[in-house]
Amino acid sequence: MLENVRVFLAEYYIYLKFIHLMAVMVWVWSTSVAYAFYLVPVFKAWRRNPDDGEVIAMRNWVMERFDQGASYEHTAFPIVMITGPLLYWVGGFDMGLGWLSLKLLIVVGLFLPIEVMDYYLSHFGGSKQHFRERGDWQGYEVAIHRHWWFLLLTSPAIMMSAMFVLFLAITKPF
Amino acid sequence: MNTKSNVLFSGSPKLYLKWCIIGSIVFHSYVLFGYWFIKNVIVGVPWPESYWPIIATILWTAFFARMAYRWIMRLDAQYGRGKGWEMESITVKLPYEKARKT
Repeated sequence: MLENVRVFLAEYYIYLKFIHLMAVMVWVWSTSVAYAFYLVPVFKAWRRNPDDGEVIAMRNWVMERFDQGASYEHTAFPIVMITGPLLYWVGGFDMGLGWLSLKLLIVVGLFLPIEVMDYYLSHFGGSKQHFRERGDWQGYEVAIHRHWWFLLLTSPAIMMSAMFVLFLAITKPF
Repeated sequence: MNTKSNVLFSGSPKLYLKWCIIGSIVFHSYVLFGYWFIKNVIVGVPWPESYWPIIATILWTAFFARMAYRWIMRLDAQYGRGKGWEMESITVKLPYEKARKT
């Protein structure tokens, strides 16, 4: 049964790969402009002027817009996580390929936990909109701080690793 | 809309440095041992065949920790371009979506 499914899907391998790559591109780049040119400048201004009411209002607004903007990224990621293993299975790959082993280690050990946390911070318990709607301003502030901590710590790791994983997937160097 | 911050942000250069060093060591150890496990246990191929992968991982771990620390310091406006912005006061209406019906 499973072998029949695999043989059937093998005919569509290149289309699966197209969907996978499209989703990877959306996942990697969809928030980049909002992050670098809107969110980060406002947060830098806040860190320089932590008591400025106007900066805080802008910080809150930009953070909430960013939370919502991450929905593109967070729609693409499950597609990546479904089509990736499908490509592995349908394409007949095995762990003997060094580039693939390294790529999967980074995906499972770094990207997956970061994205789980990101879903929580942006759309579930950590969503700033939910705190605002409840009028919980203490919780709102804590949630903003937590999200900034998350962005600070994950930015270098995710940017370097995402580029490295793309490099491995495209060049297949070993 | 609340425009006051009564909670102090807990980030500091000392904490960033600590996170960068520990994070870099933990992550690169995981990758090194994970790769070793896949090669030697799952695939059954001896790896590494020289000391170079280990030396390269150690050097990269140190470089990454330093680079990540500098990256975070710039991102958090501890140094770099963070102070290079004008703070002109402009009053605007910030559009918020209406509260969802529950």
